[in-house]
Amino acid sequence: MKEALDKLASIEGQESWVLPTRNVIGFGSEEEVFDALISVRPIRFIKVSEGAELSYSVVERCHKIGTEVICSEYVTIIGPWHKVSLSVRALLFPGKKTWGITLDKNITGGFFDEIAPLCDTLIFDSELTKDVPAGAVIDLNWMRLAPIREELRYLTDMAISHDKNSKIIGVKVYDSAPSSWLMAGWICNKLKVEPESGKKVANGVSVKSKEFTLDLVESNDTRILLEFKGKDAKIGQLTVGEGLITLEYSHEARKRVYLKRSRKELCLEYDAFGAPTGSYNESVKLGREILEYAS
Amino acid sequence: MGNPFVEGRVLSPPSTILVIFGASGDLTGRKLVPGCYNLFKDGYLPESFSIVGVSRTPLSDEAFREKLKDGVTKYSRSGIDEEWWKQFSSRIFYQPLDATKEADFIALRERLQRIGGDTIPNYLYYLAVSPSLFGEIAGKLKGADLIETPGGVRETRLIVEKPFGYDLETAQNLASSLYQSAKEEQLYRIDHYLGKETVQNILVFRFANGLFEPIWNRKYVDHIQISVAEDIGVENRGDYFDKAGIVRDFVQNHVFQMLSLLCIEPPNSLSDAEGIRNEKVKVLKSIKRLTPGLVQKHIVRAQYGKGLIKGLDVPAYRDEKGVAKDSTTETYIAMSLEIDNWRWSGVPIFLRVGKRLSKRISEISVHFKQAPLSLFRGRQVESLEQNVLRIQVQPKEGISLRVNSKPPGPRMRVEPVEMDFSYHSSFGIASPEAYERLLLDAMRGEATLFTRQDEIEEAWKILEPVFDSFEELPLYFYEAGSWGPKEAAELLKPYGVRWARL
Repeated sequence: MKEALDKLASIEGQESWVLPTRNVIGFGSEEEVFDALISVRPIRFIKVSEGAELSYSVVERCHKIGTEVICSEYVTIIGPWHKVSLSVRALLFPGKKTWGITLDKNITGGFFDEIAPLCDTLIFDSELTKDVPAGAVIDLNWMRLAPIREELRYLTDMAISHDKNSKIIGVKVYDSAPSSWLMAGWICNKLKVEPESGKKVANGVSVKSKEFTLDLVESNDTRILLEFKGKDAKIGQLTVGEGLITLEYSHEARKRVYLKRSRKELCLEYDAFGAPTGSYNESVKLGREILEYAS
Repeated sequence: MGNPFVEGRVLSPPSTILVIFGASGDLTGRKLVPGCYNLFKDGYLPESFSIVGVSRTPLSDEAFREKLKDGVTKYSRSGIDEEWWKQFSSRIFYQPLDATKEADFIALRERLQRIGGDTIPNYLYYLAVSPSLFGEIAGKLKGADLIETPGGVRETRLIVEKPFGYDLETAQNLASSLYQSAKEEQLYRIDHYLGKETVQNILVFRFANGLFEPIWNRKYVDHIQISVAEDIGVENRGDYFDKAGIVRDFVQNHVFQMLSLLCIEPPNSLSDAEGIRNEKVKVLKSIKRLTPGLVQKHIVRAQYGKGLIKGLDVPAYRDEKGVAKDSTTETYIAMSLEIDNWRWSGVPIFLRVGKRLSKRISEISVHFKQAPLSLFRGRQVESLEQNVLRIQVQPKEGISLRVNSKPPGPRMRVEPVEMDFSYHSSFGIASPEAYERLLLDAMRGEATLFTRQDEIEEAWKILEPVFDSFEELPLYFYEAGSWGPKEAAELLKPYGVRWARL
């Protein structure tokens, strides 16, 4: 520990040293994500993992961006979780926000018990797990779904421009991704629909409330069908395929590009823009309710 | 029904083709394309984004890309990376166009359709051309069905660059010519000062800190200064500048925009573009109009003579290329103003803007009223400095607060010290170029940082009596490389204050 602190002090003593902009505690093997975060701004990065014996290492990692050199401190701590947690506390740079990033399927256990409480923000990916950790969380999956949410808005705009009294009475979400529950939850939340009943159907689940049905269907393709009721019954369809989102409504059709964004890109986007706006917590709650009807 | 899927602010813009008119000009090579390159590199642009450069010169796509590469190499804040450039430049195209020929606009439409393929991208037109061409280009675009009704399948928007008129009447005429083809909500009047991080930070700083808003008023603020100093002369714009002068070139737009942001009342929401712009207009409307008799007392007008900048001899304004030998155009202006509303009544606001001054610096300073000295009587303290909040806009962006402090030692003394916040040391990264933020906002349809026509007109209304009295105002001269004419200091004397040291 003393060696680690001495090494950090020697880095801080350098004339070119720039105050870390935040502490980031990383867990998991997503080195590409960690490297990306380190390279855009100076941070104190602490990578933690479980091991029998406590060990530390501290290195300085610098990246050249244009004419600027960005240097971050990269600390690795391995050991029993409680000891790791105590060590991390001593190394957090004071007065700066702390992020925790875990991109691991397992979101229970040592990291969550011992490290997550030290973090102001926790970044995870619900594509990997249906469990959502408590506290201030950023779900990369929520960010990943943003373009689809946006295109659903455009699709509905088309229906409204066609018929102002158009109303959505049915939704079918076809998807192979484990994250479709979150999309379904978001749709219910935005439509202000609380499922009143539901049942397991072939390859999925169907939920109902007054004058509204939502089907969540496991499928090889990714599609969302919106059923509109107005002057006439109309169907709007959003299809994701080969990097494109295609919208079809009545005789109008258009395509927009779907940004297939990696975890690295999403983390950088979060870094640049901060938390995405939206109704995440309510969508998670409703999405889970829908899933419960399937079990 | 309303659209239930509307969410908050959209982060990544939809598919867009940016069409730049005046593509062979300086702005395209220095700012627009390097700005887009950095946005692309940082992952902020949609996957289907293209640039189509338009101008009269016949050029191939390849030749246009080569020309732009030089600009990106020289002016990109992150330098140029061959791999990134290769990917980015494949999205750049060139279309020769004579703005007077309708057939050329039809050809442009066909080209845009081919580039868009089976997607329906938005079109964002950047008119980096003389304002005299705005109306004609917009009309031809409309005639070729390249400007569509807002809210349709494709959004079409126009970015226009200043000058927005020469006075109130010409500004109104310019707007009328654009309104024949586009609606106000499709017009994005760009003022690059509003894209600067520090200027955007004014609102955050005021409204996100409980500390400042309670004292942001006439009870605690003694006076405000806004200084915009340039060390360069008129460069190759002598012809234009000699007709416009510094008031039209800087005060009517950049300075009034900064002032209105600094002094606005809290808007309903920082994501409500119209709400913020409504409040800005209210500030401009509240600025006390100078009657012709008062102009002399409140304004100092001057022109630079020859001098020395960065160790080099520089010519007098009248010896610059494109400038009349007997020109009476001002290259420096100092003004005192007052905002006559509940919050600011009685707080003098001093503006000074000049070319060929000692250095390039833009700064807003808010000077707070002094603390009483009584507590320090009998000590070695003769005066207390005012607390000053300095918002540095360029070249280094940052904010500092001057506070009084006791220096170490056995004696009770008071010395001012600076509490500094600089973007680089706090966030560790350089601020993006102003144009990057503004281009991204225009693609997203986010209009907060663009100027609305009523703001333009109010700004001209404030300046009308000033222009009417120009001929009666003495024109002073100052040495290039100085801080302006000595008469500017006299302007502040009745208020018992001095210009901030820059």
